[in-house]
This record gives sequence, structure tokens and C-alpha cells, in this order.
Amino acid sequence: MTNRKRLTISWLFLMALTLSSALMGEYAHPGFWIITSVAFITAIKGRLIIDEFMELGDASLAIRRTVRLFGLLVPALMILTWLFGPRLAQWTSLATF
Amino acid sequence: MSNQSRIPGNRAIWVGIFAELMEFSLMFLVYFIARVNHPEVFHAGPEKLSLMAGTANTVIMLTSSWFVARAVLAIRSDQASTSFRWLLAAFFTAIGYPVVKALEIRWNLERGVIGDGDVFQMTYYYLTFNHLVHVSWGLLGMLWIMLRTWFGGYTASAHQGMIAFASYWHATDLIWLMIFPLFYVLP
Repeated sequence: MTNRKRLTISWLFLMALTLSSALMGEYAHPGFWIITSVAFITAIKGRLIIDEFMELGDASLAIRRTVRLFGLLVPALMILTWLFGPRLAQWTSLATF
Repeated sequence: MSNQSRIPGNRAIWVGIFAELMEFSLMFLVYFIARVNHPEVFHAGPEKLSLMAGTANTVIMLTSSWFVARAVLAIRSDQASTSFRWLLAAFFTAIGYPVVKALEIRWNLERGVIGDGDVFQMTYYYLTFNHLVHVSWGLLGMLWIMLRTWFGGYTASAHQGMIAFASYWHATDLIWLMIFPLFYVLP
């Protein structure tokens, strides 16, 4: 597959994922699977930008790992705060002190 | 340079990009700390914002990023005029971002979504205004890259400046992809 074709397919995929997210924003109610789906879509979109647009797949290991880690930060925090919200609130509340 | 040590663009831009990623990582931590401490406010938050504006700006950022990536491919084939046209498309698409933002802010203010509103609204304005600042710098950078391309500053063998700019622009796009679900989607 040529680079041009890969880029175009990635962009189309990103558009489809964005529309899926928008539909979730319109109709979804809080729930583990909705949060997980939003986190998964966010992680996939991030990875597509990092690998296909930024072309970091063959870049320096430090750059590649740092940016990929950033792309996973928000999706991971979405799931963690859903699972352990009250405990994390306890740890981070000023009322604790 | 072996692949394991390839630095896209130049070292200086990566210092800037890492600083940008660190800045937003800290702001995301603040968002999640506020979210776990005020879950009801954050669950109700997205309903007060314009999902249409958030989605439009996501489409704008992704499309502009795609055009910039096409400009890089064109310059690699030594097609400077084609590369310039892709950059022009990227610029005029990206201009839509501040325009949509301005319309969104007017829409917000009419509905009482203000900077010193609840904790959701405060974090929303803080993160999105910061991102707008980064997009504005990016637009200025894009103008510079367009000028350099127009005057033959880049060739297939020497276009590190364009790659450096493209890396910054894609990183700014990546950050928006994280912001979008936090304020417009996550129930």
C-alpha cells in the first residue's frame, strides 16, 4: 500500500471514530462499557496520529515511547477514575489535610 | 542515522513538543482530580456544551493534520508546488478552528457557561484556551513553512524544517483528540 493510500485510509478511519464518539456523546449514559469504549476509541485515534501522521513507528525509541505513553495517559485515567473514583477522591481531596 | 536514533525534524522542536505534552499531562491530571472530587458536576457538564462545535473542531484538526502529512509526502517527491497547495489547504482548514471556537464561546456565554462557573466549566475554559494558544502558534508556524516552501526553501533531500513543523502540528492535534472526549463526550 502506498503512503498516500495509508494516510487517506487513516484519515477516513479517524473521521469514522470521531463520529462514533459524537454519537456516544449524544446518546450514551454513564457505565463501565461506555467509558471503556470512549477510552478505547481515544487510544486508537491517538495511536493512528502517532504512527501514521507523525511517522514515529521508526523514530528514536525515547521519542516514540514518550509520545505513545502520552497517547495512553488520558484513556487509562478515564478507566481508572471510573473504577476507583471515590478512593482517588479521598487521596486527592484537600479535606484530607 | 539509524532508525533507532532518528529524530523527526530537529532536536529543538522535540524539546518544545515534550514541554507541550508535559504541560497538558499536568492539566489532564488536574481535570481527573477535579472529576473524581465533583463527579456529579462532571457528569452533567457535557450537556451544557455544544457537541457540534467540539466535533467540528475535531474534524478540522484531523483534516488539517492530514493535509500537512500530504504536504510532507509531496516534498519528499520534490514536488514543491504540490506541497505548497497541501499546506494552503491545511491553513485554510485550520483557520476554521479559531472561528468555530469564537462561535462556541458566544454560544456558551449566551447559555451561562462562563469562566468562573462551576469546576467543569473552569477546567473546560482553562484547557481549551490553552489549546487555542498552541493552535495559534501553530498557524503562525504554518505560514512560515508555506513561505519557505513557496520560495523553494525545501527539497526532497532537505526539508527538516517542514518535518519539525508537521511534528508540532500533529502533536497539537493529538492533544485535541484527548481534550474532545473529556469535555464533549464522557458521560
